[in-house]
Amino acid sequence: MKDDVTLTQDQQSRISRTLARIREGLARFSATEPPEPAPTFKPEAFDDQPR
Amino acid sequence: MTNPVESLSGQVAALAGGSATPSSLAEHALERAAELGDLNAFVALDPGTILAQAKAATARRKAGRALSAIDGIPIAVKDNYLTRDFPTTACSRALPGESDGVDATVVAKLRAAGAVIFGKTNMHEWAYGATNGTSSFGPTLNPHDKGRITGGSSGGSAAAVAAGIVGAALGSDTGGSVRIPSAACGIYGFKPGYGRASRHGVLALSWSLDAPGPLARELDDIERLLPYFLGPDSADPSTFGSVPMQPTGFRAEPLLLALTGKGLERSDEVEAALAAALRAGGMPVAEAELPAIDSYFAAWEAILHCEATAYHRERLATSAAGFSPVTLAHLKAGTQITADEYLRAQAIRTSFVEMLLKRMGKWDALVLPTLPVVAPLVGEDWQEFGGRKVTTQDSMTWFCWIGNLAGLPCVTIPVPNSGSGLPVGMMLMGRPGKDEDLLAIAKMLDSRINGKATS
Repeated sequence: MKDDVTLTQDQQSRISRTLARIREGLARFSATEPPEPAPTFKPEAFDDQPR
Repeated sequence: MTNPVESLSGQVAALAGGSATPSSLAEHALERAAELGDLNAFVALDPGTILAQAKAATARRKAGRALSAIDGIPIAVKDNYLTRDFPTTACSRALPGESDGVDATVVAKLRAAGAVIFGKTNMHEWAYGATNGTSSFGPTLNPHDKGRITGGSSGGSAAAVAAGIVGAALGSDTGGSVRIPSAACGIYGFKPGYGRASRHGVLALSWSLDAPGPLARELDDIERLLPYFLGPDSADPSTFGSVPMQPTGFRAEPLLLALTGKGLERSDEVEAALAAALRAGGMPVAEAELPAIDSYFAAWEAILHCEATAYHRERLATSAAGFSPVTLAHLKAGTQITADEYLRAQAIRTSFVEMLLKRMGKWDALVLPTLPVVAPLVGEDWQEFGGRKVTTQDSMTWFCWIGNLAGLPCVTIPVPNSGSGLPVGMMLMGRPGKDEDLLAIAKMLDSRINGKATS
């Protein structure tokens, strides 16, 4: 089955509002950001060799 | 007929003392659920399956072979946890609603301890919203006032506990989904810190924000259930390095830091209830404002939509019509967030964590109301408070997202409300890895605010 859903005007407005809010908020951030994003991934968890 | 022993801890005592059996508890709970069917708290509740579990637990107890203190205790499960004996739908038509025969890790641990898996509870579709108004099974109603919403997304779990059907239930929390309905329904809810509890078998909303957690009538109930949540699970890499529940050494008077200011407004009624509770708590409370809150909220929202869309990518391509219109709009928004924006959001998240943990001075727990308003009326689209007018959806996550973006353990406790009398929750957020200390702090406050005995 293929996605052939046509978005309504209400859905399109919601999407526009959401993206605008996110982009304005991210753009307004003025503090120095760290060079790396948050460590949400722990590769050591996949290491099956004994430490 | 009400369940004769409504809290999980009370049920544990009744079973140990012989005044109840697992079968009698299950029968009472089923009767209560039937009486309160109009709450729409449950989406799968097969008496045969439940009574068979209870009968087996009754036999074990009679033979002196109880598996644990909670052997035979009924516990309801949110419909995004996989359960081998009930279908899992996430309350969405986009999921077939079949059981694939496996349990989520938390469910498996509870089942191994003898808990009676007491059906599946209603929720906001895919946990992608905080009102419980969007569900393929219809909305859930608040036991305190059936004209009001429960909040969500674990609204069915909260309603089942608040109505005295079960003593405890399981929920999940990405932007407050355990805490929000707990507060709106006047019960306790606990979100473990990120990576302390296994998400395995809990359908994802946003994998770097999600946490499973318990909802209950007492903090003692939460304390009894947390050992089944906390600890490493080889099936969930985020729990690598997690430790099982530890005894807390926290005995000191905690340093509380109340967050205030722009972006953290609340209604006068909620502020009055929180202030009175803090006075009753009798602990020194410092205050601090959070800077740049719009940017931090944008980071949370970007991560949420981006990860949810990635999780649903295949479903979105093949069966988009199964999603509700609002959920589909959220997912479509996620497809337009760029990799650069996602990574920027994660970097801002790191700044947020550093700011909270390193630049806000010493604190043991951050304090906020759980919600800025009391439970909204059914059908109410907007909330006005503190000079703000926001959607009901945004009002529900108004404070709670902070705990998910920072990955902190969080708890909500009900506090007296001399205004309308409707439930108001106080939220405490602890330091990373200090879930046990946070529970200890919450118990100290609960004893002073609500007169609950501490154990």
